[in-house]
Amino acid sequence: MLEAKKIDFYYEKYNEFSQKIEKVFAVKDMNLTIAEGEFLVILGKNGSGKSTFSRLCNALLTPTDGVIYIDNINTLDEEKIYGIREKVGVVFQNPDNQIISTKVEDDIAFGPENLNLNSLEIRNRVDYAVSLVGIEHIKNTSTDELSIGQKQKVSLAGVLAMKPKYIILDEPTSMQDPRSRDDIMNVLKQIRKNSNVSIVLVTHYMEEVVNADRVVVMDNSKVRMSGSPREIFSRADEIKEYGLELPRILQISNKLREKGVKISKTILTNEELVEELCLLD
Amino acid sequence: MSIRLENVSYSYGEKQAIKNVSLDIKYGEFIAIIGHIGSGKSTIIQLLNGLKIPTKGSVYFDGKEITKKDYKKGKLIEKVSIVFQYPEQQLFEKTVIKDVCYGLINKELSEEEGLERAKKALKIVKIDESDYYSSPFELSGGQKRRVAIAGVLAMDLDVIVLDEPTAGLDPIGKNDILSMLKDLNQNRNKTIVLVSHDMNDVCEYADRVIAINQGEIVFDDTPKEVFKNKKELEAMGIKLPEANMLLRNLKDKGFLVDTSLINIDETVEEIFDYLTVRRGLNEKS
Repeated sequence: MLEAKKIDFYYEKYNEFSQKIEKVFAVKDMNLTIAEGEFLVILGKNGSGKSTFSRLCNALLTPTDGVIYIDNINTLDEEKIYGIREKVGVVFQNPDNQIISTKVEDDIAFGPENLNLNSLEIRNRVDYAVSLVGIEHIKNTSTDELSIGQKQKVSLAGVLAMKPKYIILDEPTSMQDPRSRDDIMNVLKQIRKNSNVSIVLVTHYMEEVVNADRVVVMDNSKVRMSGSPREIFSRADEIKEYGLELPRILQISNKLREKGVKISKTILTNEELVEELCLLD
Repeated sequence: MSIRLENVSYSYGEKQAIKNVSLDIKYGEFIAIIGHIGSGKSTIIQLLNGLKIPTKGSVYFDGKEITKKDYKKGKLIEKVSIVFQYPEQQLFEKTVIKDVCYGLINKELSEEEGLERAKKALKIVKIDESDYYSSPFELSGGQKRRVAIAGVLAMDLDVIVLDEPTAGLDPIGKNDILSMLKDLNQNRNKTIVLVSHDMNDVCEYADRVIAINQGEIVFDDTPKEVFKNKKELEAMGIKLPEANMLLRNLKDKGFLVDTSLINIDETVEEIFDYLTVRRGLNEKS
């Protein structure tokens, strides 16, 4: 279980004379528990604290107040920091921050190599990650020849090869085309089916929320909403208040409803709306 | 007045990224370039401002061939600006305002004029005045992106090419940037070339869509015409806009709806009209 208890994290803000003028809280008084095997999506506008939270989860940052426990290990405990990073894998927003080797396969092997595994096991894990993410065709490519979208896939594979218990993904599909975006969502689905891994997905694509067990909405460094995708999206006014928008299919459905068309539930997918409209026939 | 590519090819070593592409961009257009990763989109936009010189074919700028040796390349930089993917990675100055001014250093402007233009650009991208003297690195991802775009806007060029400018932005940040581009296009007469993966946005904003696959232009038409080609687009890895997909799914179930519509509001009207008027089914009664 990943537990954030009343955590704060702030940056100092400076004026034009390089004097500290105020503390800017990226995360404030945040409580969040992520259960084993849970698929949690975090939504929130830019600057709401989502990325800071993902960095707090694997002790890249530590809370300025409060504590985070990863399976009862406090992230402030520096001696256990490797254990924490073994458990919590983070795929960052910008893959260039994460890719270090010159060859794709070497880069994916970098994590497992540092886990003190024998070379056969490392080989297996790299192959597993490469085939899961579907990047066989570029595994021998030089990492600087990749597009940003491909780099995002490589950094995901690098994290999967670590076989972490918790996978935190900070907008892993932001540079992907629609097909690759589906690919990545399918990888996540497969991981969930075959293991008890917890997944935390930070995203701006409302369409990626549909399959989540739970959605958390952050705004202004705090958790503001929490519930199933259908619950969250049925609260349209709050969603807007926090700077988000409804999935497009739900926007269409709500507009039809406003015009008097009888639609009984909060629509999440194209198929659901087709079904509802067929009922009117 | 236009930018014209004539039978242009471009190769990276042995790999041909662009094959025999011809394209005419007129001033004042709002164009979206679509295609999956590795289709050649990024290469094409770099050909548009002379950053890449074609291995074959010619590029004309206002009728003058820029691929000729005697053409002064400096002139191009005065015409077309490119906002690359993740432009915020290019931020480097100590303060936001300095960063936006940086591109103006080589222009013959006084410091005040430079500051004036920087402030105007920051206003367009909606950066708060209280952030002008902050380090750009303390800003959120969306703010950084907008500061980087302001740096390009401050140059005040005719053509603005943007490579996925909304990737990673939240819905509000995304809509802000897209409507800002629409405003620059409609009210300030800027030509916009937008590379995008989001077909919903493409349909809401662009007047013309150019679809690229394996280095070739496959479609070049209005959004409505381009999105009639479902099979071909899907084979290229492009998803249809949500609204259009809905109409097609409904048609498969026997609804007699117009499947050429691509915008949300049009789609809502069409479905409502079908359900109430054409089917004689009044839901309110």
